[in-house]
Amino acid sequence: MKKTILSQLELDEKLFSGHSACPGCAAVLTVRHIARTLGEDTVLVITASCWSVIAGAGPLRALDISVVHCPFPSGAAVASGLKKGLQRLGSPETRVVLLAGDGGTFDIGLQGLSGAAERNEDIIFICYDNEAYMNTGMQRSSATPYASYSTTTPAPLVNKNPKKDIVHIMAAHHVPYIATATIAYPSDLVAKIKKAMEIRGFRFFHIFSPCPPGWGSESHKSIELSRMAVETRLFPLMEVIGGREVVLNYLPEKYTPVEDYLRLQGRFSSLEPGHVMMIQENLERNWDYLQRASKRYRYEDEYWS
Amino acid sequence: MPAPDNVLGIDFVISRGLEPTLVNHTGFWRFLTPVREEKPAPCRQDCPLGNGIPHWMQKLQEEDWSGAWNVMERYNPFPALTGYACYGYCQENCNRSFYDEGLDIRELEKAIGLWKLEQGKAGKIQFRPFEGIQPGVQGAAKSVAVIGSGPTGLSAAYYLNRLGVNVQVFEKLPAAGGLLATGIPPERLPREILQQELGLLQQAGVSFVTGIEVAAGDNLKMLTDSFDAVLLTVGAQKRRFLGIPGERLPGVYNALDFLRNLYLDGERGLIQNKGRVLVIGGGNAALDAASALRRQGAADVWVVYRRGREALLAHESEIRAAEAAGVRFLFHTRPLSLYGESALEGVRVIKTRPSRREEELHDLTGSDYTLSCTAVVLAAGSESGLNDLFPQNLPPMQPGVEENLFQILELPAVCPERGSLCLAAGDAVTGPQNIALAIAGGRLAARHLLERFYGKGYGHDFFGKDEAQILKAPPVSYEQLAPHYYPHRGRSDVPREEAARCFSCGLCSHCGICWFFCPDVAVEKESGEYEILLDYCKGCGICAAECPAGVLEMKELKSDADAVER
Ligand SMILES: Cc1cc2nc3c(=O)[nH]c(=O)nc-3n(C[C@H](O)[C@H](O)[C@H](O)COP(=O)(O)OP(=O)(O)OC[C@H]3O[C@@H](n4cnc5c(N)ncnc54)[C@H](O)[C@@H]3O)c2cc1C
Ligand SMILES: Cc1ncc(C[n+]2csc(CCOP(=O)(O)OP(=O)(O)O)c2C)c(N)n1
Ligand code: SF4
Ligand code: SF4
Repeated sequence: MKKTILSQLELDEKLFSGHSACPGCAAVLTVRHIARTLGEDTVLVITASCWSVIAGAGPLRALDISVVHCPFPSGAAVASGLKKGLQRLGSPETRVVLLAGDGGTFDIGLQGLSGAAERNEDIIFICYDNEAYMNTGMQRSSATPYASYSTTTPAPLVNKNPKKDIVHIMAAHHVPYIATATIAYPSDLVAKIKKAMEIRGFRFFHIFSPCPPGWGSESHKSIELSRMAVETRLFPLMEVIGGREVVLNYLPEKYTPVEDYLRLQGRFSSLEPGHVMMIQENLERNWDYLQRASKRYRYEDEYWS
Repeated sequence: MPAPDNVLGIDFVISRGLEPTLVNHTGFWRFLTPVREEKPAPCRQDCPLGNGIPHWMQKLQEEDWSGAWNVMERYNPFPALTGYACYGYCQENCNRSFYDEGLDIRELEKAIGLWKLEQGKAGKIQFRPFEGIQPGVQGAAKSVAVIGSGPTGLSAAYYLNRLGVNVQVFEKLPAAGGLLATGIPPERLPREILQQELGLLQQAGVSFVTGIEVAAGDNLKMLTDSFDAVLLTVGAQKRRFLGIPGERLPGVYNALDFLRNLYLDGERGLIQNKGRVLVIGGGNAALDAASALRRQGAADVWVVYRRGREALLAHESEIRAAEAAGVRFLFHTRPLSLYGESALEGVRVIKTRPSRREEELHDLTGSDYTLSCTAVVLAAGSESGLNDLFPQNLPPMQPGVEENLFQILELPAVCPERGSLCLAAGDAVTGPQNIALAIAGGRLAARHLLERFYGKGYGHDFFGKDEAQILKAPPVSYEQLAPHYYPHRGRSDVPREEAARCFSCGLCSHCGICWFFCPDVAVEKESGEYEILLDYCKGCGICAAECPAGVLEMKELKSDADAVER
């Protein structure tokens, strides 16, 4: 057990205390470890999102790596340009990593993202998905799950659209590497970031990221919710290589009923039994599909021992 | 200087904010504070001697055997003895059993015990004195006479000797060890293990005088005159009778006498008895005597007990051993009289109504009948040896120190003249119990004497300070842990692997999970202590929710100082 966590102890901390993320924010915790893994030779591009605020309004900085803030829809374009510029200026090794919320990925950033993916730009696109426009007050995005409350889909109507399947959208671009991850499985997350660092071309991360104030969950439950999302199979840990080869990284030993997960969150408080059933059925269908689509399963022992 | 392949020839700089956000003291957002507090593990609380199991498990995980022994020694100086013969109370509620399989704690304890014996034999570990203690600094070296060489006496002798006191052990039998030598079957406790422990004690400086029975009066007075304290660890082996006719007929034996004669002298008279032997009683003496009879070759052995199987006082492992040895049981049956002309011929018995142990027993009227037999072994319980030592009137006892179940008695009237001390501990005080509690009694008596000799707090360096205090808190429950960081895995024969399965309930294992999962980088890891930086901790509670050991808890504190205190 010690190895899981302590193998990552050697890396330098890149996040400073005193940042302004809410208590229990999973996005900040995830990026803390991603930044440690990426290391010094990295430029982080951040689109308008909670993270714009967290990274610090000048003159303060929460991150000890270079950060470029950019307008909401333009993240992928800015990152592509930066990478090209760095190559031309003699720093071809410098990694350009884009950090965007679900709004900046699923909705507003989608055209730029699609273009960069199509051109197979040499960047890492990291979407931390807190399932709504959180920074501006929890408006619905196309990543907001079915039957969730948001300020633009208030109860009792709630969100009637299913969540957009961003991984398959990206897979359809046949990019070299796509991965999902969440901080509850830290070794999996770190291993995938390390793997992505070895690959050239467009790499996409979909990271599940609980948000206590937005989700109406208790701040200490962020890790547990992340874990449950995986154990319920609502958020499968997977990779798609070259847009074709699907790898399921983790097969839960026992499936947690999705209701246990939903019940911990205020945003699902007006849930009806019919909703729960639909969500459960839907995720099972998706899981079946993934199992059939995946050529191989991998339960990498070194991640867990 | 632009890089050589910089075709445009200009420097490209991405500025960073000037000041790290460290200037924001986000600690003031907090209304709940994580507090790290050691709590008792269920294994530790169930162990009669309060063994710091997670403490030495952590050492075993790193294969640090001498570290494990150093920790073990503070609780239990004879882990080989308990590793073989303790009933394993610690394993009954191990939190890991809710996850996959409980730890095999006793097997690991035995491994440490065997390591100790091996190292001790090779002279590689020191048993005297403890480096932190300078003998005699607080005055002249003290001396203690220990009466009785059972586990209680041996434990007291070990600790007193270890902390610089001269110890002499007096034993009435020709061999030392108490019930370890004369009661517990060698199948459970190999005698060479006991001999090795005794050998190491002698090597460390404890002297043994065997074959000397200490009697009350002048005999005891002589001892109190020549020693600074006398410790009575005489056990609870005084014969008790049923108070029915015929108990002194030839052919009627006492279970403890039978076992003692068998194990010390190889006396096999009773075993060669060809007829039926009835063992009367339901405690460990009854069951062990019956098993011994069968194993040594007696043909027809019955345990006659007045209640049902579930009410037997013997430990489940002893009952199973007896069943496996082919002992037969006659439950709900009570003897009325033993009869015979010149020697025993049979027993008149009566059936009893089924009842639980705490309920009053009722006979079934008219159900009496006669059982013929050629021998009866009485195992109707035994009394404190103090009753033997002071047959007329036990001197007034003052409850001494009482820590949970560990009890010792002060006997001030035994020797009022010189103000020298007389204490009693072990089975003699608690009645028949078990080895672990006996060891605890010896330890407590030793600590008590050391403090009386040298002042309060003496020995804290060795024993630790708040051990008893910690055990008073409720044990860490499975729900307080976060076990998912451990891969599911059954028991292993490799000590390091088995110890690595321990959740370290209630004791920080320095795993760093709290540091890893803190979104505010408010747990420092450099010192290795994983302290919470209260200037920045926003009180989200993730560390407490994810701490696998359950030692972090969110508390409402009046000030930060309260958190630092702990
Ligand atoms: C048959 C049997 C099997 C048992 N099996 C187990 C087991 O498997 N596991 C377990 O945990 N517990 C077991 N027990 C219980 C355990 O043995 C006792 O609780 C423990 O030995 C008590 O230790 P003690 O030192 O207080 O007393 P004892 O072991 O009884 O030792 C007292 C010693 O004092 C000596 N003595 C008495 N009076 C005097 C005197 N006046 N002068 C000098 N010496 C004197 C006695 O000869 C004896 O050697 C068993 C008990 C019995 C009877
Ligand atoms: C073009 C544009 N429209 C609107 C905004 C206002 N705005 C800033 S952050 C944000 C929400 C971002 O949501 P998301 O991308 O999901 O990230 P999160 O805040 O949830 O981390 C919005 C709407 C903006 N900065 N630019
Ligand atoms: S897991 Fe370890 S500390 Fe917890 S009860 Fe079991 S042996 Fe004791
Ligand atoms: S998480 Fe690990 S290091 Fe932190 S308090 Fe708990 S046991 Fe100790």
